[in-house]
Amino acid sequence: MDFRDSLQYVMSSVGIGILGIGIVLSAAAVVFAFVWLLAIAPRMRGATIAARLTLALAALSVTGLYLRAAPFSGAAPWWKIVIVASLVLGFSVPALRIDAPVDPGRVYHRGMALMVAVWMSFLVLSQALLVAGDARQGVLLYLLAGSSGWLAGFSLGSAMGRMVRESVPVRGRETA
Amino acid sequence: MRYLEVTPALKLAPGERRADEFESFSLDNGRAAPRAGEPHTLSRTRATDLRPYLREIFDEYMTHPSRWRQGDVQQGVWYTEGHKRWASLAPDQQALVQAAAGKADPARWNPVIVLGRMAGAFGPIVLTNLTLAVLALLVIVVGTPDPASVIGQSLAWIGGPRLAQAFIRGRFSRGVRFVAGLGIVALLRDGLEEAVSRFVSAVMSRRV
Repeated sequence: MDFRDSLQYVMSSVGIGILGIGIVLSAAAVVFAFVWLLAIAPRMRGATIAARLTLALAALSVTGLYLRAAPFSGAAPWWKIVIVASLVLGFSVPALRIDAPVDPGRVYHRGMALMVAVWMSFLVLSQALLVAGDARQGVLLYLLAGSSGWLAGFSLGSAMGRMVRESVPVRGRETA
Repeated sequence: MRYLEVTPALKLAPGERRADEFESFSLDNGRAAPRAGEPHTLSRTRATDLRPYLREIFDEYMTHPSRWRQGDVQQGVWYTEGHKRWASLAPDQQALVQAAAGKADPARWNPVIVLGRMAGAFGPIVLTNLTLAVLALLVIVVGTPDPASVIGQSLAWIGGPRLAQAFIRGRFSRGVRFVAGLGIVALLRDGLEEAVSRFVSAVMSRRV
């Protein structure tokens, strides 16, 4: 074994330790991220556009980062199209229901909490399967892509819808 | 797929015709097909420097090409990834790896190969989860006027009130409050809201 091999051995051993710490940290990080998103995403009080935009970017970029990983190469080739389609659909639903009666005192959106929970559940389930050695999980990856696009689209659409409702009085929108 | 380099360099005289045959080996057992745009080399690859015993297996094959079959060499190459068990290799394949590496089952407990396996399985997960946590923290900083209290509440819920109190008194809490109070964050939070609100009002007032 020459110097180069010895160095490679030592560096790899250090790398295993660092990666081990990263695995523990990431397991804790996903729990905190879940709680933080569940605490923040469903609330509609105050300035929401920036928060909803950040949430949408988070959902899309994290899903994109995950699905572009080497183990999923070729496993779900249409994931970008699924994300874009579900994003448009998720944006359209609150936009089309803009005239629906809304309780002005409502500050907690249970649907948003459910969307965050579904998206993160798909992500964690997919990660568990990846650790178990199953990278060919096409249906689950499409569900993950679809749920993230829907969450991002709905997040932006509902914030925009609220803004439109506040800016323009619409006939018949008043609640009983 | 594009080929970065073809060695040896081919020089043909005008009118000269030449046919060459190449043997190819897959270095990644878990990948069904090469990705579009991925660089491929016909002979030199960095994997021979990074992955233990890969160069030795190719050298052994090139030194005694008639002794080993291409399929056995391919199995030997995949063995260096660390996903194949030594016992699952055929006797010819074991003989090839042993002749190349100088010992039986060389990949077992090799830290370089173990790290490669770990990085392959956990690398995307670690990267995704840490990115997610940072972005979720950003959502809190942008979305609430007092992000430290939200983080404190979540810590109290996950780890108990002592952990939350330690966080609220700690430096991290002050750091979060400092970031949340930065002008750029306030501008992002309130300025963006106002700009979009004005845009929506302008568009809707034209329509109504």
